[in-house]
Amino acid sequence: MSLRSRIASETAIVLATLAAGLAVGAAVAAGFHAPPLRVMATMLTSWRSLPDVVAEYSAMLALTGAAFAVPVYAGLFNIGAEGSFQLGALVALWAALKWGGLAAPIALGVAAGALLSGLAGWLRVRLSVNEVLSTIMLNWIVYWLLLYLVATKLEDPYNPQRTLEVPRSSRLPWITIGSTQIPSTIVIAAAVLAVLWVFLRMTRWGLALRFAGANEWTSRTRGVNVGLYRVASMAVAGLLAGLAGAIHILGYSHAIDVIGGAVKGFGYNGIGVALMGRNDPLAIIPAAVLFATLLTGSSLVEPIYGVPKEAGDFIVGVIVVLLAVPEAFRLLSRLRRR
Amino acid sequence: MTPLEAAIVGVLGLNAMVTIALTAMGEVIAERSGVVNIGLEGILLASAWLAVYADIATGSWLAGYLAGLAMGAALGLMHAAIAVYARGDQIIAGVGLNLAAAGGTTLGIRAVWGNYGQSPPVASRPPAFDVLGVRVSYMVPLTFLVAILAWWLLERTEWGLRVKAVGDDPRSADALGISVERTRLAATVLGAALAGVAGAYMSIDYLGSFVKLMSAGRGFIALAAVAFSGWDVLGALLGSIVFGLGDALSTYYTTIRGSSAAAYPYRTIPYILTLLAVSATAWRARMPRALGRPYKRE
Repeated sequence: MSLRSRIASETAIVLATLAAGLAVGAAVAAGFHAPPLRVMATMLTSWRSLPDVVAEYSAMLALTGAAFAVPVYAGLFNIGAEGSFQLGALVALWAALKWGGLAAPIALGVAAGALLSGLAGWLRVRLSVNEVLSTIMLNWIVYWLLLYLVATKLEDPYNPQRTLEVPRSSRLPWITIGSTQIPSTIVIAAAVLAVLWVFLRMTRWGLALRFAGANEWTSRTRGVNVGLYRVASMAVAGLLAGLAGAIHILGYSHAIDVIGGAVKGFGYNGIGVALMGRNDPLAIIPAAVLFATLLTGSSLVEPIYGVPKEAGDFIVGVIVVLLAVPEAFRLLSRLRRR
Repeated sequence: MTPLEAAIVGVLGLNAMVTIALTAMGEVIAERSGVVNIGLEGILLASAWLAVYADIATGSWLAGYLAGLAMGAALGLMHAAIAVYARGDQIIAGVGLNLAAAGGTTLGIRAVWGNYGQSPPVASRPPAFDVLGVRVSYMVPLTFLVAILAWWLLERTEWGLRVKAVGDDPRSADALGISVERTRLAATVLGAALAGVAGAYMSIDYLGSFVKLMSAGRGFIALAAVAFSGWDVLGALLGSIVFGLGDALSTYYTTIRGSSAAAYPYRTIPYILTLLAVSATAWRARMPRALGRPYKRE
């Protein structure tokens, strides 16, 4: 298949899936006796009324999406962005409360995410432990420890519903554009993804990483240490998700609530973003903005039309299920050509 | 903890075991055929929701159980269609199922019961007996029976042999005239149907209502139990008893200390044990060799 027709077919897959997801959303709206088209229009233009939320979610989902995408290049499935994100947020919060400033919280949050995910990579390479299983286990270990620490060591004595807040010295600034303000996390995310794109496309390591995933045997015979690249790809993934968690807490949420709602779901939704962006660091960005718009928009339609905000989660879930079916799409395009 | 308290925790543990055990044993059957379903959490939620809906609508707990079973089987059919016939990605399909079910069932609470968090109590709760003042469902002894049946099915019947053949070496199985697709479809649907029964148990039997996101990770604990067991039905039952006891211990500490946070660290135990278990060489050797890989005849 030529590059152009491949891009065309990938685009067709993404657009068809998106259309199906939006149709499901419209059906849900109709089920709640709301005008489907207007509900979907409100959902898809949520950036107009909540630009800061959409910007923040876009930044987070782009980073966690990349955290899924990078190990795929090395042939691994990282389900652990959820855990790396939460650990990054937890460690950054702890460091900010202890030392203040930005350097220590960000560095430690990133390191914690990278170590966690790197551990899963190491388990895979050294002990052949399936990385899907290990990352799911690690996600839940982090989740319960997070809830434990949020309700005990980090609890705000004056507000037991959440943790102490990140001190002023550790908060990332917000950017003012005209009359709107958005968190600077979006700038960090965009810069990191641009660097990642250059790294994957234009450096020796990036090319070796992609080659190691695509042709394991050939890579080995050429003396490439495939195992090392696999561990590294997982560590980079953890770094990206850990960074997302850290800057989310320092730049946006400033605290974690007792049920962890402030840091939940970014990792899992990131998987959908990566699939929709076909694992390309640049294509992930519009996918992240789309998911962020949908998820933010679903909280908007609730007060206006009475359609519960979980409609957004449902749409994303349906989109992800559909994106799991590449063969079916290929089958469709073959039938069409006949 | 006094001996009486310990005994009560044990009984509570058996009640908690049922959901995990049925789900895990079903998943052992599916995974032995080569199909992994990480959407178990989603199946538990969806079937728990439908079971309560059917129970309240008909006033019959049996209808509730059947509805849960049907929901599980239907989602298993969907998963098998994607994993086996469309040769899609099983992990991604499972992730999507979990996301969709979490959103979908919460929508379902709102649509049917008009609030944000839970259903009213079920109209009809399955019969149960009393041990040390604790309500014990008949599903507890039944789970042990299911374990024996599932073991017999996998280890002592020709169908079980076929399931293991398509999970370990689909090419050879195909050459012997076994339909890889149909065997995997059957194993996946059967496994998911068991998870559906587990979901119905969780809502209409164990708790008596549906609560938003009530599965609280039990589908993942079942997934852990499968790996912990070394892909063995009786091992999965044993793992579920251990993890169920852990669940009951957390509940005990929550009640005694009056704070659920104190029990949170205990909740990590199933996952830590499973990570340790699969890190041992002997365990991994038992993983079905074609697990997660679609089969395509060349």
